[in-house]
Amino acid sequence: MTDPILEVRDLHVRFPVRRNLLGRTTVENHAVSGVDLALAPGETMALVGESGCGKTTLGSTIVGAQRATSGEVVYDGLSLTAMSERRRAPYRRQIRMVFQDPFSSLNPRFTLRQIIGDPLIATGEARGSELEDRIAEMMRRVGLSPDYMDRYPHAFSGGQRQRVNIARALIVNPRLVVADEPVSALDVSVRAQILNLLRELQAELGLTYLFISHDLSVVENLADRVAVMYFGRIVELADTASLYERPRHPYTEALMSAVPIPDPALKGRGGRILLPDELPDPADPPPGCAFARRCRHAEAGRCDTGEIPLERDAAADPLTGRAVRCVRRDELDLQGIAVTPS
Amino acid sequence: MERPLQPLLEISGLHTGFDTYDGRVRAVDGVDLAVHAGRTLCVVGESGCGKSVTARSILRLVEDAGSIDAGAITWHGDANDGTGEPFDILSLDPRGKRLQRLRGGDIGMIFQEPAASLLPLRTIGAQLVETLRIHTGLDKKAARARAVELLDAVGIPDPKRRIDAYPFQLSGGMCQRAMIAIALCANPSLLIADEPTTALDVTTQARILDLIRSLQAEHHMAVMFITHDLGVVAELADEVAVMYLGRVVERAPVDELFADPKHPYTKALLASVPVLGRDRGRDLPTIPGAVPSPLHRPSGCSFHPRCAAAVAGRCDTDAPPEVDFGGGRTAECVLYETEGAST
Repeated sequence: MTDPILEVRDLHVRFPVRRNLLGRTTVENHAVSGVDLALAPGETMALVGESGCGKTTLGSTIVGAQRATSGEVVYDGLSLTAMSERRRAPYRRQIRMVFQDPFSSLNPRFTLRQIIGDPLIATGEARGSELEDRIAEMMRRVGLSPDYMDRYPHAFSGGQRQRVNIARALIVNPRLVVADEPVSALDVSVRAQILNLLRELQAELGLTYLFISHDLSVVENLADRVAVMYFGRIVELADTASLYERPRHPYTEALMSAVPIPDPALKGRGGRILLPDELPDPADPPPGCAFARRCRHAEAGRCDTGEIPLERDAAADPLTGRAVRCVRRDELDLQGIAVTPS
Repeated sequence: MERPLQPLLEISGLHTGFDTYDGRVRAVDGVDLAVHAGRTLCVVGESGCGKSVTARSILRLVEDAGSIDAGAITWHGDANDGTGEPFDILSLDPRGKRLQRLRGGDIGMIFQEPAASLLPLRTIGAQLVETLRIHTGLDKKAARARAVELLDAVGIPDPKRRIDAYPFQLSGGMCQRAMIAIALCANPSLLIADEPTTALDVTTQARILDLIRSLQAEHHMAVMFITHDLGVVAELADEVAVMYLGRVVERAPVDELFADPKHPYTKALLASVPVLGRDRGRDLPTIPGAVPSPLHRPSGCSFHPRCAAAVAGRCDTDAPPEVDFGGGRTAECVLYETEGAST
């Protein structure tokens, strides 16, 4: 591929859970354990997985809201993690974040003008009528009337607030947007509006998205490529079509089979995989594959020892090609989702 | 489709409202519903449509903040098993024995946030034993033994040990299982489930839905399942009621609802949801605008400002007729007034 806009290299994030008398960390939770990821300019990469898999931690480490324990976040060839706060500051405008909850992520005592214009006001980049024009322009772009500029967030619905959130992220012309579950808290009838808006803005502004979500139907609709995370690691990485049609990691297969399909004709379409609840302890990761204890394809002696690498197909692009973290990846024939044109 | 003549629970003309600083909110504005023994009714709708308030009104859990202004909620359970007459739950003494027996006895209820509905300072065992002793009259020891059985039945591994766990020591899925065990401990004839899987991961959701289905088959229990997720509806429902701004706008057996939705809102809702394997990379049809606040309910049909098929001069002024298509299908919409029987 062309030079990636963002590369994550062997990233680890650990959180201290317990310290001893001397203040030394004795127990740590491994939230992100060795993630490698590359995003091409203009693409939408989705990060999926269940709660606690580390997807949000990974997202906030990329935008710089969370410190990496080790490893690198490289933007445009520059290592952001190696930079001092001061040197990193200008890059914070180029990588922006959109949050999940449109109710708690907007300051209720600020007007939309203050919320959306804040990044411009804080840096003194624009003022007076120029500031006003840029805010109005941005509001129109995300589908809000500039007449609402002096209203407070409480006057708006969830969908409109999410538009405000998007406007605030985009006003400084970022190139990369990390969107953390941006439609999960929205009503079903509003969700489609925001998904379409994200798609439209991407085409118009040439944005790159890292789209964090647990909803596989939404991800299939929006993403070009998907990284599936489990227990702090990427277990499968592929373009959307190949992943959904033929998953190669048993966890991806199980995740897909669990999604309820809104069509009663497909009820009990066979092959629903019910995973046992045994999640490993993040303070004491098991050897081998973290998913092995819940996996119906696991083999004793192969899956529960050593470190299982994320292996890329030989012919694939070394940065973006399909990769699977499973010792049995070439032996299994897993079930995907058949495409049915509507 | 066989259906017993007498429903287990019948809601008619229910109006529930709340007083706020901005005026009275009519959260439920004339709802008619029936739940039949052994069957699953899914009530589907977006936030503010009144689905949860309808469910809570059945157990009269709304009366601190709001009030039930009109309607009847008839319980046919006693008549169906020959132990009594049908009665209106709304006419019961709010502090009386019969209502207490209904809550958790005849009707079990589970909620969206399992961890928030359990008491944080008591073990799940203590909460189960208490409910068991109230509703079944077992002594302490027998109740504890039964509690272990129930935890086992809802799929909690190692129930002998987990019975002494506090809610914070269990995952969300495990807490929801414990809630289900509490709701089931008196063998209710009706389980009301208010978005019980919304806060859970899909893999956990799949197992909880599976559990509810198998328990229902085992105990011939009726289920009223409230959700906003059309996938869950397709999976679980026998009958579906679609709600919008406090009213049931469409009612149908599940297959018919998905194959041939009648109400423009149902149609638009079904089209706007991305479906696995159908909508890869394409723009989704949308419903314009957002659900209005129930404080500012549009005149006429409350869906008309967002409706592509709205008839000017009709939908914005007159309340839509309820059209009965027969076979348990109804829709509140003028588009069908020449079909079926209007009421």
